[in-house]
This record gives sequence, structure tokens and C-alpha cells, in this order.
Amino acid sequence: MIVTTCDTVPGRELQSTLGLCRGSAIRARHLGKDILASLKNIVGGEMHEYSKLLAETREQALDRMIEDARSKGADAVVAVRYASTSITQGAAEFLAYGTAVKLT
Amino acid sequence: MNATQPSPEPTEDELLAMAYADGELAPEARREAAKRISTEDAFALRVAHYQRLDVTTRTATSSEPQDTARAKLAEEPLQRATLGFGWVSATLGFIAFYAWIFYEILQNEEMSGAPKIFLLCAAGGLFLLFLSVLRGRLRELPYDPYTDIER
Repeated sequence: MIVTTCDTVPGRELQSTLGLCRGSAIRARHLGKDILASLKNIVGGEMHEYSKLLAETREQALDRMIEDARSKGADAVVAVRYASTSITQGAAEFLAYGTAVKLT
Repeated sequence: MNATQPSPEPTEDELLAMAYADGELAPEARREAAKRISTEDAFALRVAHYQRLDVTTRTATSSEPQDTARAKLAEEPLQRATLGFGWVSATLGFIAFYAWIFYEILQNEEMSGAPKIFLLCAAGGLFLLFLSVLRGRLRELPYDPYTDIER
């Protein structure tokens, strides 16, 4: 499965578009990591507890988008975008979306 | 043999699990494999294992200087002792504190019986809900391929 942020797949022609495909995920870390991250507020530096949280959520959303495209019979997903928001404190939501296409 | 440990010569099931995790199966074969995932624990664990490998490989990044410093610090006895003692002390302290508050409320003779029963119900209910959520997380943890991602 080709996944790209471009509107086309360089070197290939789009045969047809199969519509929007998307995947979202919301994840949280456990209370212990939240406590450590909040203490990081005092001393500064990267909150790697939350960097990890965002990375996990991003990859899960991406995989769900690919699975959605696969179920539509797509060869590629073009114009992929991410959106992120916070549903509740200490949790991260990622939405990955794009256009599922058939290639010639 | 552990379901997540590949044998030297991949079996048919392992090849199928790899192909499923890599998205290489035809739609019909994929549907069949998905059906097996929902009915066979060992096969579901195999798929989760290969998905974990795939995700970890995909997200692997070169190490940054602060990673090395953090890893070294985590190995130092003083740091381990500080963290360990800190967690044990804080956890026991919070549990003891809330148990004491709870006990004081129940022993309060100015309060009638009904509020005490309500408090017991609320605290007991919350504890049961927590156990239920914890049990759910522990059950799904071996199948979650995203826990090894670092950034």
C-alpha cells in the first residue's frame, strides 16, 4: 500500500478514486507516566512520556486508515493528512485521513 | 512452543500471520485470516507479534544524545533507588491517607447511617470499576502492537 501526502503517485496514473479513507485512535498513558510528565513541567525538557503517547496514537490511526483503504480495494492512499486534538486530559487523539485510489 | 516465538523454519501459520500483518493477503484470504484471529488466541498472538515487529521497524529512529544519557541514568543505582523508593512511598502514603479519611468518616458519630452507606457504595463501586478497566487493559496488552513505539 502506497501512502503519500502528494495528490498523485509520481510515476503512476490514478485509475479511479474510491473515496475518503480514515482512521482515528485515542490513547492514554497510565497515571504514573502522567505524574512524571507533570513533574517535568517544573524542570523543563522534553516530555518523552507524551512524545511516546503521541507516536503510538499516530501510528495506530495510520494503520487504521490503511486498513480502511485496503477494505475498499485501494492500491494507494493519496493526500494523507493528520489531525490531532485532546479529548480528555492526559490522552491524545489522532485522525489520519486521505483519498483511497486505484492505480493503473 | 510459545506462540509469539517464531520457529527456525516458519510454519504455514507463521507465514500467514506475517502476510496478514504486512497486508499482503488477497481480500478473501484476509477475511479468512481475520475470522481465525477472532477465534484462535494463538494465531491472534502471532499476528500481534508480527504487527509489533512491523510497527517497531517502521518507527525506528536513530538514537539522540539525550536518549543515551537517559538510558545511562536509568541504570544508575541511585536513580533506581530514588525512583523505586519514591513510587513505593508515594503510593503507600496516598493509600494510607485515603483509608484514614474513609475510616474517619465512618467513625464520625455526627453523621447518620445513610450517608455512610452511600459513601461505602460509591467507594466500592469505583473500586470495582477500576478493577474491571484494569482487567480489560491487562487482557488486551499482549495484542497491542503499539506499546514499543518511542517517538
